[in-house]
Amino acid sequence: MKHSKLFFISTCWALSALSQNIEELKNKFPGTNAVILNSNLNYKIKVENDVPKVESKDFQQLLFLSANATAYWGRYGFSHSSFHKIIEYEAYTQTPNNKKIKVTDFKTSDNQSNSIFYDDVKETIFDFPAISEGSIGTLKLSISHEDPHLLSPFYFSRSIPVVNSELTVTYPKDMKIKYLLMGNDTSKITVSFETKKNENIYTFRVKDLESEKKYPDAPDNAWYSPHVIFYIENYKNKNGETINYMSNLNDLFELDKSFVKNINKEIGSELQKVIDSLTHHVTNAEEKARKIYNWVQQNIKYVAFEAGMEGFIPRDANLICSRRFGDCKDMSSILTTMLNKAGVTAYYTWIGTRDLPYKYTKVPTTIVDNHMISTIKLGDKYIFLDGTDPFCPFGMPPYAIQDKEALVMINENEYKVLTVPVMEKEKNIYIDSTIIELSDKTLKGSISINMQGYFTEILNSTLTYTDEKNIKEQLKIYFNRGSNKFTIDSISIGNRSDKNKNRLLATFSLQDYAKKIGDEYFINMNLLKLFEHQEIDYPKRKSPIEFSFLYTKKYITVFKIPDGYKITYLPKSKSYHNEIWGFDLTYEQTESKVIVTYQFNNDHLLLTPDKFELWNKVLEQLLPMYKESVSLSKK
Amino acid sequence: MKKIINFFVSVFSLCIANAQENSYIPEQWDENPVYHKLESKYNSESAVTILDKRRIEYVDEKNEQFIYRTYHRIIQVHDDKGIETFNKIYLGVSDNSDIVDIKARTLTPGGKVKELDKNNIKDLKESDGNIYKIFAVEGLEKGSEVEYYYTYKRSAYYFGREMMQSSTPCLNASVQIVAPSRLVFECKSYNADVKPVDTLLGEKRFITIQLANLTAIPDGEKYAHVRANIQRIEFKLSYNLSRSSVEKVFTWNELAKRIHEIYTTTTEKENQKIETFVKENSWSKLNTEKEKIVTVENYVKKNFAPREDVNTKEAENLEKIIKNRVTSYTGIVRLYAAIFKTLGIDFQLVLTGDRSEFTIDKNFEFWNTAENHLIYFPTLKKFMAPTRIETRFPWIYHNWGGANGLFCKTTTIGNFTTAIADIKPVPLEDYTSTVSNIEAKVSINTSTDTAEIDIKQIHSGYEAPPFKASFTFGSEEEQKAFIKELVKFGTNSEHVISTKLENTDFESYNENKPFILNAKVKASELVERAGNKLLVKIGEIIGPQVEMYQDKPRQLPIEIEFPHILERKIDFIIPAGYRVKNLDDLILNNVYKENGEITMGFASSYVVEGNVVKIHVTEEYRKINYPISQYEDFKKIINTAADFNKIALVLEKIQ
Repeated sequence: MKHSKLFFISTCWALSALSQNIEELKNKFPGTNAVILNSNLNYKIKVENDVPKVESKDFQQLLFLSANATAYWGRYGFSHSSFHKIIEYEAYTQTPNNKKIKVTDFKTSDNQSNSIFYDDVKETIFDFPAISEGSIGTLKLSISHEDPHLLSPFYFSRSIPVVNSELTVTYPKDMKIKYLLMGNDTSKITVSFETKKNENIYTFRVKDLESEKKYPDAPDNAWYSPHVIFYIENYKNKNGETINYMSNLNDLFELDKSFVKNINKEIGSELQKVIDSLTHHVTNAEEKARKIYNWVQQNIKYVAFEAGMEGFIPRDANLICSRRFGDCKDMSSILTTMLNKAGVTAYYTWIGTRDLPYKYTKVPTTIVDNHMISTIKLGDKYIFLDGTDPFCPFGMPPYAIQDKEALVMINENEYKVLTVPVMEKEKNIYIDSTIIELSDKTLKGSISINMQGYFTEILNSTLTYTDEKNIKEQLKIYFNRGSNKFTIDSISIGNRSDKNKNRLLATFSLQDYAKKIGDEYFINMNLLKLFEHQEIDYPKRKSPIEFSFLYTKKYITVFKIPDGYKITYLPKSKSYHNEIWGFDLTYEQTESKVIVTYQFNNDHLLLTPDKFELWNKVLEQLLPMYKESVSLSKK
Repeated sequence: MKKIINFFVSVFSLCIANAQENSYIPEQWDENPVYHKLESKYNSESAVTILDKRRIEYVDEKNEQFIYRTYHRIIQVHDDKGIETFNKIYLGVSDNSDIVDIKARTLTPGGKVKELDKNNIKDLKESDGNIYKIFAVEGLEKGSEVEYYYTYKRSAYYFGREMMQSSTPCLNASVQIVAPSRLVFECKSYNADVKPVDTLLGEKRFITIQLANLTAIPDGEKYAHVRANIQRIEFKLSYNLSRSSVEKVFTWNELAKRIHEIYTTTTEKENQKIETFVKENSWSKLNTEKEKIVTVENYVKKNFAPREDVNTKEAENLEKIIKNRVTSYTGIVRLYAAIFKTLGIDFQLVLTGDRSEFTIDKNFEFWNTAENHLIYFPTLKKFMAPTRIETRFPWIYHNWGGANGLFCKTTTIGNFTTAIADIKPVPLEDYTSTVSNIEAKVSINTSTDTAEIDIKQIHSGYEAPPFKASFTFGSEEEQKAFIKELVKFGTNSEHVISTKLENTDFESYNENKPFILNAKVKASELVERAGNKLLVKIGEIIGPQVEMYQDKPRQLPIEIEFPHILERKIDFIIPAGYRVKNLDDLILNNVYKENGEITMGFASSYVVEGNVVKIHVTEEYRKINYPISQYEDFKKIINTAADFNKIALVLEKIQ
């Protein structure tokens, strides 16, 4: 299920401006090659035959500021779909000497995303011709928004600076429009309201926005980038009656409910057989739920067909069972159906993944969610089951929906909004133990990594999608340490039957790691140097950092002192914590061993910029510890 | 190249106009499929292809010739990965093709058959223009077999390439070319020792190639051109017996003639436009031929955008090109050709393959391989790559050199000018002109345990384009990030005090002025402590190196991007009051010679002058490929460089 945002291809840049402006803009945005001079999106909402009808006109101008622009920045584009149909489009370049050269060659293709097998989102690209410093590329679009429930939020920032960005919404006077300003800093957005004869107009405007920098560990830009959400609350029909459209959560529920009303009326013999085989002689509800969830996880593969209303309406459970594949809505459909049939109370449930920052309680519109799961009730407890994740342990929600509100359909007349719990750091444990001994300059040793919770889920995914012959190479991401002379001698993988727990074991050699000078050895026992070069780009970075889940990590390294040697230098232990995070490092020495232990915890799903300075403070304390070696000499 | 071939198709089609019509051979599958029991050695494979059968059939219909292309495949899937790889099927088709037949089914190990509902087949067009029929396979479980076949009809092509290996092993593969008996195809296999079988049955000629027990494409090997080593079959039409049994068609000479025509034929109006254009830029006033070439190239590459995916007729018209400045690859080559012609510069158009994939085989006139454009200047004996905005004369995209090119040598008979083909190597520039050098001065601040480094990273020749492109096209933000990465590479530090860049522009590339990054850096990461001793990780100055310490048995020969040399000069200043205990660790030597001459090697040494340790490292790869028999020697050299990277000097206080 997906709400396609109309977007503009951000890797392709173009610019344009009036010549007197160019120098000014170059000073304002140093080093930039192109700016969006104007981005005006004008929505016009009408009521025809008692239903809302929405069209928009988009006007975009890019000013090219660099002589090097031709070969690299002229490509531009736009996307569209059956919900956002292109009525007209036009693009041209205005050269500095005011010649207008039209774009004649547009190419349209299917926009492919990794997770969706087939939908109807298209992408049209073209090249602005005759680009030079000072030329302006213009794109004009008219779009018909076929379903006014699905109006996309408007984003002001782009990957290049924006000089002027404006959204207007024109609508009948007897209609009510609601808007919300979202993002980290909405203070630059000016909002004005104007009323004309039969129409009201909202205008949202931002001037002079820097380019938006993308960081790979940032959440979706909905979390921080300034944007406007707007939707129709209600309107009046011909008879003057008020029609509620998206006035509150009840309206959204009515809409969502309509998507599931015609499915799963009957259970066919194939599906019934599966249910029977799973629940035969099982009386305990939780046990039934575990078995059914596990079957769906193992047997129904995720394949998403999401063209048009296929993106909203789940398919019938019987069809899914026979096909052995489905998308998130289908997984919800088959899970809910099978569970209820087996006597476990289960509900269709809509939810936004953590890509979306919105709450049902604040934004009761279709943009709030992008996913469907099934919720079951065991006693007083609600458990969230997501069939799209084959590795998720029963009882844990997939990490991508933690802390999100779920809209649970209790029955045709009733819904509940429940919050998916965040799994505590004590449930996601990673303990990495290394035992090493010296063999001349080579370290030999063994590693055992014990995982619990989401760590296991990630491991199981890696193991499943790796060929047996490549497994050793693939698991190096877990084992690698010391230097790239690290070689694995053998590995073994624990039992995968428990989705919540697993273990990896390896024996290894690490050549030339120890320094030997005369009778002395120097060994840096910080084989992993975790968080090295992970200082946050503070104070520049404005987008938060997203963590998949909370965790507890412990790294233990045990060094066996060789016979005839004694430790001549042992680095000091250290702990440092602030309110964001911290570490505990200990060096211990026994008769025959040196033991180094590091512990790190993560208490954040989202680290906001106000915490970056304190985050970096911990690294200032931690990283120097990695410079310390243990030294040994002959007794 | 596609264009050239399309042109020929239409010309060629005319001469079959009166040929007898025939019909294609429909594909069939077993009405009652039988489950395949495979040898146990395949159990650990995620999926195994049991059958990979392809047929390309030429059929005359009315006044045209078409191809019916059939692809029939059976795959057994063994695990979740296999299921998820093969439960979504993408069947490639071509523009304007008609699907004649398409079927798919699943057979479970228990014998249950489930056939695909054709209504569930969708169309997909990718941004690169490739078109597919796509569908999801229903009812797939572990052990199941997916079987599908499809036939589509398309306009005929006379050069075909079939890549026979895939990500799964394959038990039985075959390619069959079926054509009216008057058409004689030549067929050649690469990386496979198989012979085509040619039979004549009635009016049809069959060429069949069978391959058994194909392995999956090897992956994960470093310094390898995987695609070039995949088993493949190429075929081309060589004789049309209805026209002549001795005159060969689609020869290299024919291609040269065609290339000459496409790229150098201009209208009077186009000529006038070009003359004005050349005049406006005053290029004819420049002194030497080289100056002219260089100036034209720099101007065109800065102001014109050649696009691989543009293919309108308009984009080839010189008047339109000059106006729009966005053009196709053909258009940009036409532009250069017209300019050079106007300036009286002698040049030859050259087409090449790509060393990482397919290169021109003198003995097999397979036009599709000749797909990349170069311009050769016989007086200077140098090349230029017109479609690559990141290269400059005489530097070309490296994978287009080091292999054969098709040189279109013009000849004039009376007042008619044409071209003949000369297939010969496109040499790359000498290994000494492509360098990745480092010059560094390293001193230690013993009170803060920090290395203070003044480092120069120097890149020239074939190494230069990524650097010049980043600093010409990148945003300020991207440039900063790139500098940070470069500095981190040689110092393991992000603590940059100052940086200076030289020769970031493309205009300095003709003279091979190297890109230079000069940075002053504080690197606390390079100094470690053990009690009262300092460990200085001097090896990190050369940056992390590729390592081949733990490798599976080598399957492919060794390929180097381009011949090059890496020279590093590191001056280490011994801090006052200290001495270095392990200087001899700096001496490493692994050099390989053929016939007494070095072909590859890594050698490091040092001298001490006062308190300065002068370290000198030379690493070089003088050739572009080394046989698999030299793999162990190659690996040693690569690993020696990686060993050097780990050298740490131990400093001890002088008592």
